[in-house]
Amino acid sequence: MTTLTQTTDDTAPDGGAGAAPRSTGSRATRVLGTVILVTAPIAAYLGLVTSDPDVVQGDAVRLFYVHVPVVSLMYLPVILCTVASIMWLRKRTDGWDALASSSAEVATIFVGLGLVTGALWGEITWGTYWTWDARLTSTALLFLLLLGYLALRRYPAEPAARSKVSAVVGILLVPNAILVHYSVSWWRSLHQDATRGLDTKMEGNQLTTYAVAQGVFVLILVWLSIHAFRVAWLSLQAERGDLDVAIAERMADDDATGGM
Amino acid sequence: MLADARLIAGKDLRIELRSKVGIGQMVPFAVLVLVLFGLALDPDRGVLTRATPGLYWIAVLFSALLAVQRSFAVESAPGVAEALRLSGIDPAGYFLGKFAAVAAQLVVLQLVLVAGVVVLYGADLAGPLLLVATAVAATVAIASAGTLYGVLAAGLRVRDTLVPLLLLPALAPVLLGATRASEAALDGGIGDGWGWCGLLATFGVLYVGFGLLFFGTLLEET
Amino acid sequence: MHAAQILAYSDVGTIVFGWGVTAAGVAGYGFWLARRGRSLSRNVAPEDRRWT
Repeated sequence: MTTLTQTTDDTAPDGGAGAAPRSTGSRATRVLGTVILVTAPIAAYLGLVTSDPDVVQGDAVRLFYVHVPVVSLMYLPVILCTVASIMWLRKRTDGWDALASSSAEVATIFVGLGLVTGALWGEITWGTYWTWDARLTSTALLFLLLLGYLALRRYPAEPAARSKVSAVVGILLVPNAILVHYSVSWWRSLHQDATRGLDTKMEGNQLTTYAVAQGVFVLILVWLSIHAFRVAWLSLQAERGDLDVAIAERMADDDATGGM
Repeated sequence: MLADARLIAGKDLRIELRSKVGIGQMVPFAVLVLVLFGLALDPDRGVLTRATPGLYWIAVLFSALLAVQRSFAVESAPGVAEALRLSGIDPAGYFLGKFAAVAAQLVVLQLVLVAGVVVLYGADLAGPLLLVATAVAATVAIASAGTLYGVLAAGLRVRDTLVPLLLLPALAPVLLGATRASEAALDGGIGDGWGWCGLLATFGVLYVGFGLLFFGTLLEET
Repeated sequence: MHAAQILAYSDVGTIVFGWGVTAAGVAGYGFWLARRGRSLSRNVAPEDRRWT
């Protein structure tokens, strides 16, 4: 653990302009990143090698060690996006805007991975990648909602207008997710209970493995969220900077040509 | 607020009546969708009859996209946004007016579409009370959400691609609820029909409320 | 030594693929963020990026 104290190069002298970091890394995220790099292989070893196969699921339980942590965490950034959107409408500061944008991005990654690992697990257990199961269906719709939000975020428009519009869509994210979830589960409950096989009792080293994996994914979520936030913040500033530069150039041009 | 709403809705509907773009393009488009479904799903095998509620509501959803885009294309001419702000129209009234105009067009569209499914798909309209209630609740839901997302995208000067991507996933519960409720009505057994109707109503109330609350924010100058 | 053990699992391909996709997704996004952070940092005034 002595390596952790050496990771201070992020505040290297910045050409006399002060000690601003040259990346989105900071001491805290470097420590966090190192911990993840150490613990993730441990989780993989536990999950892929030492864990006993499940009595009911057999080896499919090994997919659970990635699937369940991802799925259990994926709603957090979604909620964060809605909260940040509400706060942006009240405060109108870049921080909330960046938080809404970045957490939607992280949410999309988690929801996407949750869908993929869920489909793979379904292939083993149910014999098919996709069933119109309540959870799968509502998660897929949540994924599409998030893709729409990100498309809005990426849309080349005036930054202020885009932030405003994104905030309103961001606020609708959680209500939409709830409506979708509620209606889809009701719809599926009319047909059959398709979530069979999900309630597995983990015991012994399976529980330990799961706990370690869950912990690793919590750290991953935090690391990704911090970096995504800083990147979103930087891109907001850069966009504004570009605008300032463009205006300055334009004025210089006008001066050079006699101001028209 | 209500006077402003009436003003805006009246203006939009007058434009539609005079230009005939909505009637001349949206309704034929919806009927075309019905015919295309018929071609895709061999009409002789009874698939069409069984799938009628779903196909009907898909046709309504797609046509509603056109109505929403049209509704805000009308406002996208240069200076209209500024003129609206200057006119001092209440944002909530503006939302209600836009919503009412879209809803009215959807009602006209649905009258044609119902005739269409009866003639083309051989649908048997059982449970009329539930059907009408479903149609009303779903229309409110689609028009309110459509108006909200429509103005969102209009603010960014983009309409054609972003609105469906934002609107359709959000409307998934409406498609589900309207389809199940109509299915229940057509089956004659009411079953969960009124429950689904309740879901549609909840959705509509939520989006209308949201529109009334946030339309001012969306219209303000940036 | 563990390779043989892993290969003996039922559906080993699907399981390893699932882990692989997850690792690749998280790592790929992480690297993308880090790279983008570095390139954006060059365009942003130092006083706008103060975190330690």
